[in-house]
Amino acid sequence: MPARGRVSFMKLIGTGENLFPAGKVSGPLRRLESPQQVLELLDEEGPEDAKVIALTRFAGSTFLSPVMDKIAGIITSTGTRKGHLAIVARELELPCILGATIEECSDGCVVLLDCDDEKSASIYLISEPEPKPATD
Amino acid sequence: MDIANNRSFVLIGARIKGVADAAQLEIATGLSRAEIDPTLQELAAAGLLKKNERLSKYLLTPAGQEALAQTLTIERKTIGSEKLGQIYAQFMALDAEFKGLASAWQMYAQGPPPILNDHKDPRYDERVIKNLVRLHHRLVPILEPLQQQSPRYSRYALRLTKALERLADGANEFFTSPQVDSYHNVWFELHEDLLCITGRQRTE
Repeated sequence: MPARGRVSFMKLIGTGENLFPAGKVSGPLRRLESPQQVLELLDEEGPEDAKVIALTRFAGSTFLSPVMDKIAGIITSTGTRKGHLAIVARELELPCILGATIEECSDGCVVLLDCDDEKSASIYLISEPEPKPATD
Repeated sequence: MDIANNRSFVLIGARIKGVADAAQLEIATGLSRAEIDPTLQELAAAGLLKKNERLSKYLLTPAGQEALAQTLTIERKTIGSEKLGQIYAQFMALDAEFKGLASAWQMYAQGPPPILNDHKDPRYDERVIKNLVRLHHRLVPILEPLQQQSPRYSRYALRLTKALERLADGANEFFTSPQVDSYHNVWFELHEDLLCITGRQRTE
């Protein structure tokens, strides 16, 4: 995770309501808006501690449950503090940004969630995804 | 339990879970593994479920979603849209209260910043649980008309009661943990089911 001071050099790409003060967390952004996307994440083989920052519009859905242990933080464009996703995130102590607005950002972009503040949270872009090697 | 019902139970279970394995569907539907396993095979062979072989998990295909939509349409007509609307409204009147109780279970104060419940005040916990018990007894009669027409709703009532019993026995995780069949988990799935059968979209 980048040192605290480096946040000021990163591009701010989004903000939202902070569910609870949870410090900073970073990871590759991953849209999770359908059971198919959840299954793809579940099926990926990699380091057991590899986690993503989940981006979803559906703060009230049940389908994220299978991959909660692969998620380091959650960004949702909807949701309230008493909503279902908030209850689950709080239970798992997952940093969670509600009602977020975020610039268009592709899966794989490494982002940082600054959830230090009591009320609001910020989303920073750390890096774009690495281009995939060309196949012959 | 007849085969057509088994197929419907598994399809709606898969829809609500999003991604599910046989053990999860066993809990959700109340069917035995001897009933679930062949039903999953049939539905996968019919192209209504897609199986991830490595994980042994299933999700609905577009054809499965269509088949489920047809089943739900029949259920809706059998129960009656007006009756369903009344039941949904009664449920939603309790839903806000339930989410408030779940939040109260997790936090002494919402803040911001929230003051988390460390469960070191047994009187506070007892008050919240008592309120949940009262809410549960108001929910059960709302589900009874559904249970008469659609047996799967008995399963929700049973799972909620079991979660409440575990909670009353001191297993705190059975209120809001997503990692067990907690009261919140089952409530969440019941709401999703009601949205499916009434043809509504979740607003939050």
